[in-house]
Amino acid sequence: MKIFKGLKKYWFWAILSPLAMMVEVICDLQLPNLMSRIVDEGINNPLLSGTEKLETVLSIGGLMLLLGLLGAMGGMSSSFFAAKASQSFGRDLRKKAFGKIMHLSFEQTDKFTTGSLVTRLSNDITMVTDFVTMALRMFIRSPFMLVGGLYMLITMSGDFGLILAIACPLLLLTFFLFLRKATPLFSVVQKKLDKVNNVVQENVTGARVVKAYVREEHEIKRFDEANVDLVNTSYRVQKILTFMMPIIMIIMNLTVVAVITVGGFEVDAGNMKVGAIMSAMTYLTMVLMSFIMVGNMAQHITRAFASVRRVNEVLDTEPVIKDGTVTEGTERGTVSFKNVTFAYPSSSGEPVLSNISFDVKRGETVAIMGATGSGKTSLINLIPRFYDATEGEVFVDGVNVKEYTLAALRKRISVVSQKTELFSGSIRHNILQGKPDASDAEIERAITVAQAKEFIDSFEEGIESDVGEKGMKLSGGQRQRVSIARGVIRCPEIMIMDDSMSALDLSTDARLRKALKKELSDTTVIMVAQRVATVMTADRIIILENGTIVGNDNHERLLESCEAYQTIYNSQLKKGDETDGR
Amino acid sequence: MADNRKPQGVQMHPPGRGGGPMRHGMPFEKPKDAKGTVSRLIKYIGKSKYLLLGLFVSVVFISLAGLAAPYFQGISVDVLDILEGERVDFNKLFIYVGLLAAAYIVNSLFTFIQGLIAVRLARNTVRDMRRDLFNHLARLPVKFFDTHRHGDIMSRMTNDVETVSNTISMSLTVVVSGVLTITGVLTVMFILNWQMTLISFITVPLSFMATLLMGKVMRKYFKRQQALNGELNGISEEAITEYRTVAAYSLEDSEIADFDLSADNLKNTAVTAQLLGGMMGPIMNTLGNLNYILIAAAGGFFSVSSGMPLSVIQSFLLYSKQFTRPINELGNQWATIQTAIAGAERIFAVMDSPLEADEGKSDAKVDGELDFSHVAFAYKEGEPVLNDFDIHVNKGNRIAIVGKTGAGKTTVVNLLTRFYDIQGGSITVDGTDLFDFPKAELRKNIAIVLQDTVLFSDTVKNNIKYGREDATDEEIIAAARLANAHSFISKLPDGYDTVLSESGANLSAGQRQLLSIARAIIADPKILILDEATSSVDTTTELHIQEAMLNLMKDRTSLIIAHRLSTIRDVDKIIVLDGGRICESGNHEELLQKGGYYRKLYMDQFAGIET
Repeated sequence: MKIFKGLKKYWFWAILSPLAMMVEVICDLQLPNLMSRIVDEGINNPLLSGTEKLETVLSIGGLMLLLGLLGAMGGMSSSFFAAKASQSFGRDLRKKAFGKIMHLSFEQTDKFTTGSLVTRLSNDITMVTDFVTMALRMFIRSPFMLVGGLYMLITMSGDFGLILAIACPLLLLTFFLFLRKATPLFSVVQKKLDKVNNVVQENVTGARVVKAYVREEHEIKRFDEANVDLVNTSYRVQKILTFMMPIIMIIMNLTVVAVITVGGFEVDAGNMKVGAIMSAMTYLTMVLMSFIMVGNMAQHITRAFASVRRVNEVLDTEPVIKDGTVTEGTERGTVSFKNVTFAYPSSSGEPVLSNISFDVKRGETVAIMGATGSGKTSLINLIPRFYDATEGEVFVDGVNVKEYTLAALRKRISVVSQKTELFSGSIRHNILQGKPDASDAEIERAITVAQAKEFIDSFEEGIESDVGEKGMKLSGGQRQRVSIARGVIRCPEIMIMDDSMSALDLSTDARLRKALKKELSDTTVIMVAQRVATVMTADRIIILENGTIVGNDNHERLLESCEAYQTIYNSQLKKGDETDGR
Repeated sequence: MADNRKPQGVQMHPPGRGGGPMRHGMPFEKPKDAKGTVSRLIKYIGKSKYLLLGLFVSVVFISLAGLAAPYFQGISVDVLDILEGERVDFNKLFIYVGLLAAAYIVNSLFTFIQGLIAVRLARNTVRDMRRDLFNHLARLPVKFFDTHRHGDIMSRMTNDVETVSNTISMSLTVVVSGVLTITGVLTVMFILNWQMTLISFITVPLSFMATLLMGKVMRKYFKRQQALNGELNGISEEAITEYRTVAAYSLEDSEIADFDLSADNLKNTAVTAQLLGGMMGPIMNTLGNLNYILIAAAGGFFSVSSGMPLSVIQSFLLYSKQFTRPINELGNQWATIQTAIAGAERIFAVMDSPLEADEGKSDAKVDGELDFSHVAFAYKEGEPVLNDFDIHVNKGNRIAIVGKTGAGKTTVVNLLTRFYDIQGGSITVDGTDLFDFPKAELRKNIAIVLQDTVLFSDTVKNNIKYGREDATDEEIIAAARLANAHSFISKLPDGYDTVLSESGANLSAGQRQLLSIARAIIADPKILILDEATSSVDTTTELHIQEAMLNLMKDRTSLIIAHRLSTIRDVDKIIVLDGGRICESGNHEELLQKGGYYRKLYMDQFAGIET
């Protein structure tokens, strides 16, 4: 797996860790032997006097303690080395994956979904990192212990090998049978848990509706069904697993009984001493424990490799939007679409926009209107190259957008999107994202233009106020104005506003548009809007219907000639005129 | 880790929790009132008396068998302890080995029974606790949901309940068997030789201290690791979910720099935490070895000086391991139990929140005449939202409430439905005080269409039927037609039987609104409350919604929280709210002519002309 190539950089630690682990295992393997010698050569030795016995016990004991300490050192340094290697590897992987994700094109992010990218970056990488730790330590320890213990046992007596030959397959069979039965049930349990969560979620967020329609009893019944279903299913899984443990215990314990019995014959024949039997029991337990651990490894490996695959999918994705080379335009502030057709790459190919052509001159304000799904957002997404047109060409500053470097293209454009996206931190932090080196005067000007000054000044901490996670501490209208200020501060050549004034009341909306016109007179503004009042004063209004342009003119002329615009106008401002009073 | 310290044979403790060294390091919370919470918990599990009794009995048998096994093992090994040239007494050996096997079988058998009882006990407690919690939750006042974080409520419902009940059945077993084993082993050891017993105690305080000290340091690092992990996830989640802004403002590099810094910090802390975690096992092993040597040495000494039998030494070697294990395990359980009690506290906190009051006994009928008189209300003390609020609505009238955000429009709805209760004045419906109606009677006659449409992950049909349980299919379709929803429903893959994904995510905002209107239509209420949505929907859907709303309002007393021009213009009366008071009222023409606050508001909000 090439993902693990990242470990190469830390090869030093990655090699030291298993080596240190081997020291621990070797020491561990010696201990039972020494213990038996304490009994056989010390306490039980009829040839020694009392003080000699004590001396033997103490000298062997001293060796045992030394070996034990050496083993402990080995174990500790092994976990330190393993942590060094795996955590550094994990950090690199995290950085690499995050860097990759940050440069993915929109269609790829859409395809992965943001939620899944977040889990891949956190859970999956943690899983892979933990796997490396385990591989460096446990995957070395258990097989080594297994082989070492086996060797010790068989050198004592071949009969012990026979006991193992019976016990091991039995253990394997037990594991296999139970896990095969239980594993599929785990995902069922998860699904049922989701269902329970879902009911609670709906009741918590929809409490008003439940109460308004007096449906508490219905909800309680619905919950009870989901709850009982979940609990019973997980009970079934647990019950299966309850069988497993005692069976494994009895197999392992009966091998101890077998060792004593077999040992009886060996001692009887004079081949062994009692201390050796005692250490044989310890070795046997060691071997069987390691055997179980080795069995568990398979499970860890499958789980880790599912994560590896998911991380690899991210790492292997190459952004589809490729950088160009041009950094300078020829006709500042212009935007034009030439026969543009666009279909979302993930869709069935049904175009969202077809054959769109229009030109916007420097400093013009163009509004885009149309029903939901008519393609407004898709259209403006093509300008900063969030997506590429399927057919036709988009020009910014007289140059095809595909020829610019992405940074150069996006630097000339400010996008204020529909779903206002703020970052946790202060208002200043968010505004500075538009222009990191902006002076205080520039910030002041931007918030004034964005009509955000009044509410920011009303905050105790002013511009330093924390906006909360995703800006949740601000109201919808305040969030929109902060994100407009973030766009304004760049003094962009082109400002794109995607329905970004919807939460403002109309007088604020009007003041904002006026200020934009005055302060950013050179800036070309392209705005998507739903309200006639917002678009009336634009230089031009483009009306979209099912992905095609059905009107492209100013308010007065559209009102005369464009049926689609008339419908919108009437639905919003019908009879409005007569009460206009001007 | 501790293979060489284990008694020969598998440790006899109930299955279910791994008590590895990592356990010590997991951060845990401290409960506030542990005593009170525990006694409430005991009442909970006390419901399954026979299960508890069975659990206790099997734990006793497991512990007894656990005590007997090393003894039998000791005496059977003793049989093999012969001098050169002697023969093994096989009769004796087979008897002892048989007894040993029997002890193991009894142990496994009761471990199995104990396991079965424990999962059953856990199932019952999870089920009952969750059921009680939800029963309570469903009857809590709306205020509770408005003032608690939803994610928090969710986690109490699932995580906390699960942790608590699992810990109950598991910890109970561990504690009981631990205490039994320790007492049993100690008794036997003292009977065998008290001097040896004291000697084998020497390492106990050492291992205790090691557990405690290491645990403390490790918890600190694991906590820090968790916090850093949270920080890292926070950065990546924000950058990834807000990727549009990141791309638009070319913020990739600054986000990556932030992320890298956190990733470095996390790595450093994680290495330390893992190192500390890896130390626990070796330290315990060393202490175990020390103990072994001490016993062997002391045994050698006593056997010489006072002729102590060798089997005693062997039993001691085994027993000393037998009692250090439960001591460590009890230490581990301490953290788990504390966390569980803290979880139980959170659960009981919900269960202790006062239920929605429902004291009304009147059998008066709701017909649709409303009267608000001198109503006062505040969500927070000292910040009145409504003050001396008076309106009278005749049956079948339409009233629109307008005003700026925060003027108290939604509050009127909250009070009429008794989601919140008035704090002064009175509200009467058809002459009967609002408080005299049973809440169910009142709410059955009021339908609300909310700004944020609430749909349930169920079929379209059941979502409409939510308004009235006994509605027939014909009625449902008729309601959908009136709500202008029939045509889009018919186009859904399974029509009325289409299952909505979570909260109706597979429908557009407009369609969801139409469904909620259909739901209100089928409820056939006397009083209707419309909280119009502010979100922008396209013109066609907008027209559909308006038409549907007009259908809905026909012949019903309607309160409209208005955001749309068309709905306001045709109402019988407009109430203009400002600062919690009614500042103007009248119909549209009258109010415009008056040229006051309404006119300004109207121009501002609806026509978009600056005044």
